[in-house]
Parts: sequence; C-alpha cells; structure tokens
Amino acid sequence: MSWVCNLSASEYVEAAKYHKDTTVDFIEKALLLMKSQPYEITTGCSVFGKQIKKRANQVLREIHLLSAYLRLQPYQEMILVGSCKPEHNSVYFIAKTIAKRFDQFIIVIFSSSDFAVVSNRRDIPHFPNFSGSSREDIINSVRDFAARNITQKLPEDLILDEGDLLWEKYYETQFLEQRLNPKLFHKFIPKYAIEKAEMKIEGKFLKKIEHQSKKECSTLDSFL
Amino acid sequence: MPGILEKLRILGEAAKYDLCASTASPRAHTPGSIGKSVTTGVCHSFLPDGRCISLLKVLVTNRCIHDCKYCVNSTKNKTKIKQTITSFEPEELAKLTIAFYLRNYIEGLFLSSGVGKSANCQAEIIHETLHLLRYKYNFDGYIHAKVLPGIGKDELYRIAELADRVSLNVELPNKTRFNETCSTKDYTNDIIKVTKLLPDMNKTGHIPAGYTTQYVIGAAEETDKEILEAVFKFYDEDWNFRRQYYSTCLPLELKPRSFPRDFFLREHRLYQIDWLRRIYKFSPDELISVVNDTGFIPLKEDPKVTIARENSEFFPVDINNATYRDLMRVPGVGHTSATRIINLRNKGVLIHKNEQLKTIGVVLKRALPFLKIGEKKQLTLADFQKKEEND
Repeated sequence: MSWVCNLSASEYVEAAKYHKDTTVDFIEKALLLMKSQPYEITTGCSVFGKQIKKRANQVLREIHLLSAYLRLQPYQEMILVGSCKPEHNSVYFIAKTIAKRFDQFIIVIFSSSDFAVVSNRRDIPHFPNFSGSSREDIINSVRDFAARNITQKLPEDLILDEGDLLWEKYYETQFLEQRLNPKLFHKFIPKYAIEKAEMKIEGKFLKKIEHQSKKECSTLDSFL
Repeated sequence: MPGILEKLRILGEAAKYDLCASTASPRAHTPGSIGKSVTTGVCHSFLPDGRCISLLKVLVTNRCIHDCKYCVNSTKNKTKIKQTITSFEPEELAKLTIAFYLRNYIEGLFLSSGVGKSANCQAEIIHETLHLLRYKYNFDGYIHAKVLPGIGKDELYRIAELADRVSLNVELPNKTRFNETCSTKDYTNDIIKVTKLLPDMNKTGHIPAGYTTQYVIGAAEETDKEILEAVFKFYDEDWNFRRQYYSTCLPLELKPRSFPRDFFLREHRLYQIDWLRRIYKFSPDELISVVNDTGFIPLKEDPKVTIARENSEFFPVDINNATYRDLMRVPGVGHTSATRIINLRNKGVLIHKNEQLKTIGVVLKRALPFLKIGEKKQLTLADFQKKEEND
C-alpha cells in the first residue's frame, strides 16, 4: 500500500479496509464500485465513493500522525517500544512506518487492545508469536528474543535515562511566548492526536500555558 | 560548570530565534545506520506558538564577539535575559541528538553557534560534532548546520561534507541596512563572499538538501521592496537558494508578552510573496508591483488576490480547459489542487459541480469569482469586489 496523498481508487479501498466500522459487506461493495466507477472514489462525487475515501483518509491520517507523534523508549537489545491508542486497526502500519526510520531495530507498538512487533532487519525473517499477560511480559519476551538473535547492542550512554526530562526542558525553552498561537498548534497536532499518541509532555505544557492564550490581546492598538 | 540540563536550557533558549524546516534529503541512506532522512513525513513536534521543532535546535556556545542589535547573544545586549555563557562538548551534543532521535522526538539536528573566538574556530567544533554523529554513532538523520559569517572556504567545505543543508543568515537585505544593525561584521566579506561558495558546493554533490538564509524583519529601517529585491536575486539560478526565511524582530525583554496576530502580518505577507515566487512561479516584476509607493506590501489583502484583481482580463479561467500554470494563478487553488484537477482531466473526468472542487481541495470562497465551471461563471469579479467592500 502506498501512503502518498493522491491515491488511486484501489489504494483508497485498501486503506478503508482497516477502518474500525468497515464490514465484509462494505469491502465487497467497495470492490464493485472500484471496478465499475473508480473515479467516484477518487473524486468522492457519489455518496458511497465519498464514504470510502473518507474512511481511507481517516485510517491514513491516523497512521501518518501517530507514527510521527508517538514517543519511543529505547532498550539496549536494539528495541524501541511505543504506545498509542489508535481508533482503527492501524497499529501494525504505525509500527511499519516507524521501522522505515530505524532499520536496525525491533519496533514494538502497543495499542489498548493489540500490539505489533516489526523489524526491517534482514537477519530476522520471522518473529515467534510473542505473548504475555502484561505489556512488561511482552517486552521482556521480545528482549529475550533480541538478546539471543542480535549480537549488536545499543551503547548504554545513548539511551540517556533522563531523555524525557531533557526533552521537557528543551520543549519549554523553544516556545516563543510572543507568538503564542494554540489554534495554529492544533492545526498541526489536533487535540485527539495528543491523546491518541499519548504526548504527555506536550499536553502538560499546553495546559500550563492555556490561561495565557485567554489573556492574549486582540488588536494592534491594545499592544501599542 | 552547568550540567547537561542547564546547558540545554541556555543553549536551546539562545537558538530559538533561528528558523529551519525539516526536510527530506536526497542523500542515499546508509544501511545499518541510525535514522533516515530520505523519506518525508509529518514533522514530529510543534510548539504552542505553531512552529515546528522537528530538529534539535541548539547553539554550540552562546559566547559571541558580534554586536548585532537584534540578537540575544550580542555583546550589546545589556538586558538581564542574557544568560550565563556556556558551551556544549561535541560528544555531549552527539549523544543528546541520538537520544532524542531514538525517542522519536526529532528528525535531526539544527546546529548553530555564537562566534566564540573566531568563525573558523567555532566551525571546527561544529565539524567535530557532525563527524562524531556521522562516523562514531552512524547517525543518518537530517543535519542542518549554520554557517557562521566570515568562515573560511576549507572550514565550510568540511562542514558541507557532513551536513544535509547549511544556511548563512543574510539578516538584512543590503549593505546599508546591514551596517545599521551591526558594526563588527562586514556584509560583503563575511556574508556575500561566503554565500558565493555555496552554489558550487551544491553542484559538486555536497549539501544535498541545498542552502537557505534568513532575514530579520524590522531590525533596521528596511522596506519590503528592499527585502524582496534581495530575495528574488537569491532565488535566481546564479544563487539558487532553496528557501529564505523571515523572522519578525522581537524586543529583548525580561518578561516576554504575547502580541496580536497583526504584529506578525508583515512577516506573513513576505512568506506569501516568497511562495508565489518559489512554488507558483510568479515573475519578480509582477510581485514587486504589489508593493505600494512607500515600499511596503499592503497588509490588508492576500498578494495573490491583489495580483488577480490587477489582471482581471485573464479571468474567469475555464476549470476544464485551463493549464496547470493558469490554475496556479487562481486564488484558492494551490499546487495540490491544480495537480489533482489536471490528473482527473487526463483520466477523462471533468469538473461540473462546486462540490467536486471542494473535495479536490480548492478554497471555494476565494476561487469561485475567478473560475468558469461549464458555462457558468460563479460570481462576477465586480460582484466579488462589491461583496468584499461590504464585508
């Protein structure tokens, strides 16, 4: 599946399959429309075509946003672990997207009901079925597997235990109070993305400065 | 000696006025390395001021010998907000970059510096940091390095070998304006002479993501016309700058305050004109024509609408026959929507309804007065002008 913006009808149908509301019946009808009048899907000019396009875009948008905004925890065994709350069945694709940037790592992404373990490493063609009663158990079993199969280790000083605290401080320093513009911020990171990607630091900082945005002067005259 | 947390606070704070956008670099990916700068995606972090911080943006040191009147690190900055002088060690900075990258906070590094002892001395430290990142830690993410004014040719080449993009801040549009703000730098020798080395470096395969520059708006008495003349010159083939950024000069105050949106409108209009030149390929002459008699861009109206009004004989454009270039001249139609319209037409799909335009991404409110769909003109230009006046 391609993740570019201008998709073909078949790509829209493929993405719409992972929408939380999509049923087998919906998929069959979508495939029929794709064969007979594909332009109805690409332009969204009929009701059903529009629905397919809308669902596909919702799934793609979720993958796009969550793979950028969810934060990872590195482990020495070349593992990066993240957690998010996707609405659709997209956790595997989120992990796949992240793995493109970290081709030497095993990516483990948890959602509230599911998890995906993905890697682009060529020396690990297949993963066993990881299971466990808690997230910690699953992470431990992936760590065991990695320790047995990957000789490479991530140097401990690159993991930087206080990494999240450092980011929190850094994030605060970069903010230009003179330009405060929460509306623009939410255009890029919608409120739901902060929650779904579990962006704790950004969310906390935003709450801290919320009262300032209410005090913001509204005209040039009030500034002068 | 401050710890890493304090250094990050001080040197991050000092770098926050520098502008950069993370971008993909055509540099080939090295298998087995950490990160990738080949593919583009959504930026990884934004601030409540709406700015993207996908790159770890820090200074190597905030010590500076220059006296630029707009800069927080200037020797002339007498306000108490000037921070303790401190510096990052190259090793510290390299580890910090990797740690943030692995946590998915950033897409790369933006490394700048105050001019501690000399430009070349500081360039060596920047080079050492980049070298550690690329060769010791196998970092393959995006790196943007700031070139310091007055840097030597060899030092510049060494940095350019490791960075995806470099930038040198021109700051002001010409020598006269430059001298109004700084007495320790020479516009011709320290800025223009160094800038002239960049196109050749890019042609020989260095700095694959190109080079950029930045202007500080309102630091001197410069007009928009002066800025635009400099901007258009730097977008010419001889200079071939990838991007130019504009940053409103903010007062150095102990207690920063929020400004109304209007305060940044001049900067916003300059960005709009920049896009019209760079992406929409409007000619410099027609863009300069937007500027009023006093040399400033009228703040009231989007420059693309102004130009469309001035060329009313060109409109309305027939949506189903117009070329890509014609469509790009229509307010409310951008590159993405123009491309989609052409692609659909090539597949035999014509536009008959406003609804179709909306799903394609056209901003109907702005576009309709300038479009003809089928035999219908949606709204005459005269009607549109009346409506605008009433609004």
